Amino acid sequence: MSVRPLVGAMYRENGKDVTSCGRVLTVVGTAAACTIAWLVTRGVVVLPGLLVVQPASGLALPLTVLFGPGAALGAAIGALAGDVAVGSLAPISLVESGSQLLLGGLGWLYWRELDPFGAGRRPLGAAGRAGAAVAVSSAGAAAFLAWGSELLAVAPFHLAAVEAGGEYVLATLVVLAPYLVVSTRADGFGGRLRRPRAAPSPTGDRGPSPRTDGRRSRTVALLSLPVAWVLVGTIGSVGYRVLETIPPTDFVERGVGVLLVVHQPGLFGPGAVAVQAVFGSFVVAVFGALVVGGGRTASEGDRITGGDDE
Amino acid sequence: MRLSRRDALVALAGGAATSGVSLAVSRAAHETDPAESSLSSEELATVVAVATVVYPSAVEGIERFVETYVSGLDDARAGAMGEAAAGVDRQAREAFGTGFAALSADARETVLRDMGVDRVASNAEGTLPERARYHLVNTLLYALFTSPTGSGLVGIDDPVGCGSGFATYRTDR
Repeated sequence: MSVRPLVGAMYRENGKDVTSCGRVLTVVGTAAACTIAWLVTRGVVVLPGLLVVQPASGLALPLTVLFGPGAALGAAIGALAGDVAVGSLAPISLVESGSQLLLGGLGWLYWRELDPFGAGRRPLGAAGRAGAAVAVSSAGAAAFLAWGSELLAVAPFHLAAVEAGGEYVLATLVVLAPYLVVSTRADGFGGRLRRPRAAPSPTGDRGPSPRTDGRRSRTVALLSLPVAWVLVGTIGSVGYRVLETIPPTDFVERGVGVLLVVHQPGLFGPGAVAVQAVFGSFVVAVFGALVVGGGRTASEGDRITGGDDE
Repeated sequence: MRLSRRDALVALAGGAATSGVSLAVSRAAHETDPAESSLSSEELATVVAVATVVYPSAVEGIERFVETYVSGLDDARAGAMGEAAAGVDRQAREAFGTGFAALSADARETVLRDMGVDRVASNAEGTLPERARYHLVNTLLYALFTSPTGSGLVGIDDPVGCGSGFATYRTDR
């Protein structure tokens, strides 16, 4: 299983053959932009005492939609550089950087799948699809960050997931919405956030649409997996922590002693961290198989149809 | 979606391998074995700053009180407290770009609440918010309300275990 076909498809999908120099510039430019934004706009308190948002967290998705998936790598490097600059570099910084990579990468992937500003879309439908792309990619990135936070004993899964999810959605919308308004006025509906048309094949054959049932089920699976991860992880994290606070004798007295089977701090670790570790690992692996396997299929389709599915 | 059997096997193997690594990482991260047995000046400043958030506003002389109390802790407790303080300080830098002690009172409270310190159960070996609640918030409150001055704020002049109780008892009789 190689990721090369997927990466190739990503750059073709971006609308043109991007040169190596262009890719490097995209990564470096995004990293610099994110670092500067990270340092300038830190800690905007949205809900006093509950939610602090860093607007720079919202750059990853819009930049990958505009400049291609390389920008996700730039956002990840930018997040890491921001931590170095303020002296907060720690193992969790790598996880935070990875979550920015995911936010951009998943955002690009979902934008491509949902195509919010495709031909014939009404404004409400477009807003719904764009919102879904933002929400699901934020859920995936937040779940990854929460998973890493639980593994590294930085925060319980449920706290990190809810906080990061809220931050990513808000920050992305804050960056995306104004740009969308301005871009739509300048370039028509959707502006530069319309999904770029893929480069035609050398033969010029654009081919028929491969939007088959298989592709639809892959899209559904890709969209549901991050949401399921956040939900299951959060419920498990809260549930097990509540379980830990109840004395075992209470279970027996109330006739639900059977629940003590899952009360195994020695086996599961504090807050059932071991269960979160294993569950998250398999979600990541399944997601990787969906993306890479689907990318390979798309690449094979590209070779046959000329690479366009519109 | 034409995922082959090979894709499923690779996903399974990838999941198993990642599980192994993540389990090892989580075990190492949850082992509380502080390298330092005493607090650095930055950590102590963070502990004092936490005290300014959790102590009633009527309390004065917080810095000296906290320093005196912390100096009496054993090495293991002091080390764990320092580790929790360093974690809180990092969160402050992450959110506001500056250390916890340098923040305003409101921002300090925001950092603690943003971490969820007010919403987690106290746990000496848990995640950072849980350890911050145990080693910082609860320990500092314990220190305050087991001293005669602190417990006097809530109407208990002679807290349990405090030597002054004996004299008061004798006087009252």
